[in-house]
Amino acid sequence: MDMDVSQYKELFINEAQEHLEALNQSLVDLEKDPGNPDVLTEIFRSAHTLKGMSATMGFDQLTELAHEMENVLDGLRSGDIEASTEIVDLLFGCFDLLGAMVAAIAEGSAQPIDTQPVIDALRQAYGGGSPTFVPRKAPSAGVEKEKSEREAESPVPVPQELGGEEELLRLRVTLDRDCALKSVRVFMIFRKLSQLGRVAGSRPSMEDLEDEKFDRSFEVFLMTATKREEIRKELLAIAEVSQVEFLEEEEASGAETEEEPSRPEEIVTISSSKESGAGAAVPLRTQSVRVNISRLDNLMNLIGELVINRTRLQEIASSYNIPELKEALAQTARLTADLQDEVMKTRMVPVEHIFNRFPRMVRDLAKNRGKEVDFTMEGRDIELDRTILDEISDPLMHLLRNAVDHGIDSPEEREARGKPRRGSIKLAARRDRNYVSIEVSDDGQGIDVQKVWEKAVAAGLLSPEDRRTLGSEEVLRLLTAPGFTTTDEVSGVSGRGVGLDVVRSKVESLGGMLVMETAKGEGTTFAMKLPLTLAIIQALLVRVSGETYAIPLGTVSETAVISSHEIKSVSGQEVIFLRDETLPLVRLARCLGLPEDDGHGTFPVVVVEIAPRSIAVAVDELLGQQEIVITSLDKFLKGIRGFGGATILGTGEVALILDIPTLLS
Amino acid sequence: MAPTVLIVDDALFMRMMIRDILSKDGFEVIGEAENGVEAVERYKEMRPDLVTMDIVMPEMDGIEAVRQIMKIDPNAKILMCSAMGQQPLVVEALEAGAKDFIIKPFQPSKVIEAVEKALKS
Repeated sequence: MDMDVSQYKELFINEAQEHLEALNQSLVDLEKDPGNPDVLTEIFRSAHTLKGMSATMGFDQLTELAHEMENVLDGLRSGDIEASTEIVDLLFGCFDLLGAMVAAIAEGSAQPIDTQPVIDALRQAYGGGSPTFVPRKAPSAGVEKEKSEREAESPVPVPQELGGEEELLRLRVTLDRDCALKSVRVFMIFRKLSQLGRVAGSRPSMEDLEDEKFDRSFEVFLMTATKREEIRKELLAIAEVSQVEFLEEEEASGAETEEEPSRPEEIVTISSSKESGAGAAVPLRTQSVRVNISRLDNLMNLIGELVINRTRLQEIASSYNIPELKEALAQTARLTADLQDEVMKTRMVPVEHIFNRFPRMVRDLAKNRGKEVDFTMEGRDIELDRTILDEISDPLMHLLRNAVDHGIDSPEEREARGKPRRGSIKLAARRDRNYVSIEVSDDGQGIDVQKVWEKAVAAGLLSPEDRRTLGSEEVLRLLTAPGFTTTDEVSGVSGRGVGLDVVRSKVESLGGMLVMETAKGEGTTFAMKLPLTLAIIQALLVRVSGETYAIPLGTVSETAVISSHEIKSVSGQEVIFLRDETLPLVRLARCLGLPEDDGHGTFPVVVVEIAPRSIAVAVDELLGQQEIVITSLDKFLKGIRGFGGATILGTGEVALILDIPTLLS
Repeated sequence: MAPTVLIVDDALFMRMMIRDILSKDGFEVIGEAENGVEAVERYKEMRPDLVTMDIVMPEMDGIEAVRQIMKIDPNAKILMCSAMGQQPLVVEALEAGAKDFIIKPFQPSKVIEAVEKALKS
């Protein structure tokens, strides 16, 4: 009876990938600390589980590779094989191949993958030309020991039946056709027999039985006082024992016919337990359930709709002034908030989900570039929305690659500068109010602001006069401008700016910010500040020229009301003074190309934080703070800078969500 | 009353599969554990009629878990789940008191047979 395993495929793929990540992680650790038995055990266990899972799914090629790999790991564990660079590289290669095979399974690709070279290399590593799945010598030793112990005990057997006379019985035991681990079955049978009497001999010999050199049945001579029926019952109680016959002068037929009726009886008991159990068996899901991410998306969308409707009802309640409805809605508001919170939590995944693959990547890259790097990670348990997490994986990889490639200097250069030979790169996640900050920092050569500046001027991006008004942070922002590169900044082929524009736009499209800090000769830090979730945010609603806009509250630091005479001008730029701080003033209407409504004495400003500075944005009216559901702009509108999406307000009115950093940049 | 079962395996995938096989045949899976330590704890709490026990697991392996469970309840019925190539470990587990074993890849008929027999023993 074969079972349909296809329903488990997705689960298998997920778990197999997790195991591969764990393997990569552990192997990086092992390379740092070669003899560590805990790490070795960890690796062995993951590999072993992977093998078992693959075998269960019937992925033979995967199983075979995992099996060969296990042999090498076993050698490492026993100390027969040394964790040399070649072995570690071989294992990494093996993980990659396993990964590719799992990926092929996931895609349902029929493309054959050639595992032979890796398998050959693995076999060579553990010195085994031994064919697959042949048990090592150890089992027979175990059985042997057991047997001799039993034999030593057998002079004082526990008589099952008092007063019975011992006789010599000849039994033929037949195992199931597809019995696995026959030697262990033999062990179980002999153990049972030695409790029932004394084993006098067997055919084939004990040794051959342990080596599984028999087909399905073997004969045993047993000195016993136990009744035959008892013996038969006891032996049949062992799984995969299909028949027990007593042979007397070559006649076994009697036993066989006697045995037949006992089988159907068993089948009856099985089926009856099936029936009685069907009603009672309500399995308790005690642990966790895996849910497809699209289900959670749907759930989030539905809650979004619910929030919109709630807001609508609230507006009806206030315009008709119905206190009872207001009260009921306050309750509904609490409930939807809780519901939203719960769904949000289910969508949260620890960042280690994507962090785990980085140590391996950094290791490979550093090795490839001839750099020595210590890679550390912090805050792996910090949680982020699954969607965001998936999106930032590539940008993070980019930043790390940059750090290894361009950030960290070569060991020789480092020594010449009086720094330790080994550079260090740190990946850290931390929770910061409504944001999660993910930082990649290195202690490399840093970025030379002066050089960036010169490049920018040479490229015509800035004029020499700009130098006076622009701070170094703004100059550094140029690094993330598309196509900007500072080739002589670093020795490599590509400049530091490679891909940074991609990273920045990705982070910004997620409603986050990319912040950069650098000190020449000391290192560079890139920080991604990301919102916890994408779907629903708190926003400040403002009105400009009769239109309503939403500003994500995450970027708002405060609001104030100022009068027009407080506006000053500094080198052509309008500024206001707020508590001794000079803030540039941006008129939102002008910024959006809307007719300006001037002439009134006072107007509100929204102070937004665009790292590293704050900017005051002038609007006509503040409407208040509200929870909004983000609807992303579709493909026709997606390219417009300055808007993070749209939202439907309770009134049914559509409001655009301002993406302040891109709008003002 | 359906016999109660505790499933111990570090792979969720394996636990699901065993759960499905057993549930279909009318057994009541009352708990799962993903390592030996959890297995011993769950056993104390739940006293299942039968335990299916993986051998290679984090924290505490299946063999040690069998030893500890047998100390708590000498009549415990434990079925080992093993992969090919683990004969010595299976023998060790049987010596520690496990009743029987099943081999991955699982065949539902074999699993049910072993479970039925272990319960009757």
